[in-house]
Amino acid sequence: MNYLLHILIIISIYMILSSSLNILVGYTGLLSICHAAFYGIGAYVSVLLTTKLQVNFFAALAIAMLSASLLSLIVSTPSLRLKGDFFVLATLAFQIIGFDIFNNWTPLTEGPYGIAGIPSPKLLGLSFNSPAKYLLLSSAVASLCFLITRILLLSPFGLALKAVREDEIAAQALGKNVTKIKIKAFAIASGLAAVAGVLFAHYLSFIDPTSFTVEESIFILSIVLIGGPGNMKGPIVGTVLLIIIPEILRFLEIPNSVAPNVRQMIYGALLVIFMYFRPQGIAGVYVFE
Amino acid sequence: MLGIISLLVIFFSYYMTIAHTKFGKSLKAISSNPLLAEVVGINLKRYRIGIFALGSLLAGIGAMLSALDVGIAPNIGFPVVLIAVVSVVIGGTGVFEGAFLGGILIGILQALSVWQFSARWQSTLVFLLLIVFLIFKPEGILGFGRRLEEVKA
Repeated sequence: MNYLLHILIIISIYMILSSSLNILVGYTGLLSICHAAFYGIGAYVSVLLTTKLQVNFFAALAIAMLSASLLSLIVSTPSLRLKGDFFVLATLAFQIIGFDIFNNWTPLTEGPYGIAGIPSPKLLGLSFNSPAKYLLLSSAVASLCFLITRILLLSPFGLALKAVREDEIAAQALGKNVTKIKIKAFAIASGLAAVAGVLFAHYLSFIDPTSFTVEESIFILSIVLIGGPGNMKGPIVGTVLLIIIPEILRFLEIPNSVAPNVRQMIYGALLVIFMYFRPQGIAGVYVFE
Repeated sequence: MLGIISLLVIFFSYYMTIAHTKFGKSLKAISSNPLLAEVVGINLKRYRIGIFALGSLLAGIGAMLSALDVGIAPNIGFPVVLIAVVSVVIGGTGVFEGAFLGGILIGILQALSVWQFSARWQSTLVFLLLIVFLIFKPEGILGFGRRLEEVKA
C-alpha cells in the first residue's frame, strides 16, 4: 500500500515539474535543460530554511518559489539573447554550474553528504508524516500548480507565449516585448519547479545533489517531449507513463543490478521511437524543432 | 607521449582530408546549405552516415587513449562529450583549427583551476567560460561572424 502511495506522490511531484517545463518547451519554444537546477534550488532553499532557521514549511515554500524565480533571471537574461542550439548550450552550462554549487558549497549544502532529518510539513497541528497524509498534501499542491498553469496558459499571456513560439518576429511586430515575455515564462516555470523541489525534499526527508543532475533535467525534458509539448494533457500523460513503466520492471524479476540500466535503455528507446513516429508526443499538438 | 604522437598524426591526416579533398569540400557545402548541396549532386544521406562513422572512429581513438591513461567505466562518456562541446564552441564552430585550439585552452584552464582553486570547481569554471563566450563571442575565437539572418532560430 505504501508502495502505491509512494508512486502516486512521485507522480504528483513530477507532474508539477513537467507541466512547468511545458510552459517553456511547449508554449514558448525554449528548450531548457536547466530545470533540475531550479528543482534543486527549491529543495535546498526550503531545507536550509526549515532545518537551520526553523521556518514554517509554507513560508519556506513561498520563499523557495520566490528565490528560484529571482535566480532564474540570472539564467534567462543572458541566455535569451542566444538562439537555437546556443540557448540549449547556455542552459546546459547553468545546469552544470548549479549542480557544482550544490555539490561543492560544503559549508552551506553539506555537499555530497546531503542533508538529512528534514522535518515533515505541519498545517494547523496536522503533521504530514505518513505517505497517505503526504499524498493529500502533494496532490493538493500539484492540482493547485496545474490550475495556476492552466489559468495562465489560457489567459492572454498564454496566447502571447504561443505567438512567440510560432513566430518571434511577427509577435514583436504586433507590439509584444518578446524578451520580457520569455523572461516571465522562465521565472514562472522556475518558481513552479521549486515547488516540486520543496515537496520532494520534505517527502524523502533527505536530499543530496545527485537528485538534481543533468540527467534529471534530461529526464524531465523527455517526459515533456514524450507526453506532448504545447498541450496541458501532455505532461500528465508523459509523467504517468514514464514513472510507471520502470515500476513494471520490478515485477518482471529483473535483477536489481540490471534494472536501472534497463530503465535508461527504455527511456532512450522511447525517445528515439517517438522522434521517428510521433514527433509531437502522445497528446501534443506541436512539433518541437 | 603516445597521446601527443597520435594527436599529431590524426590532426595532420584529418586536416589533409578536410582541407584538400573533395570530401572535405562537400562537407562544407552540406553544412552551409544541405538543399543546394543535394542539387549539385552530393549524396546527402551517404555523407551524413559517413561523417557520423568518421566522428565515431575518432571518438573511439580518443577513448582508447584515455582508457590507457585512466581506465574505463560505463559512464565516463558523458562529461567528456560536454567538455568537447565546450571546446568546440570556444575554439570556433565551422573552423577546423577551432576545436584544436579550444581543446588546448580548456585543458590549460582545467589544469590552472586545479592549481589555483581545487579540482571541485573545475567544471564550474569551464562552463562559466562557455557562458561568457556564448554571450560575447558566440562564433568562438577563430570563427567568423555570421549575419543575423543566417543564424537558425
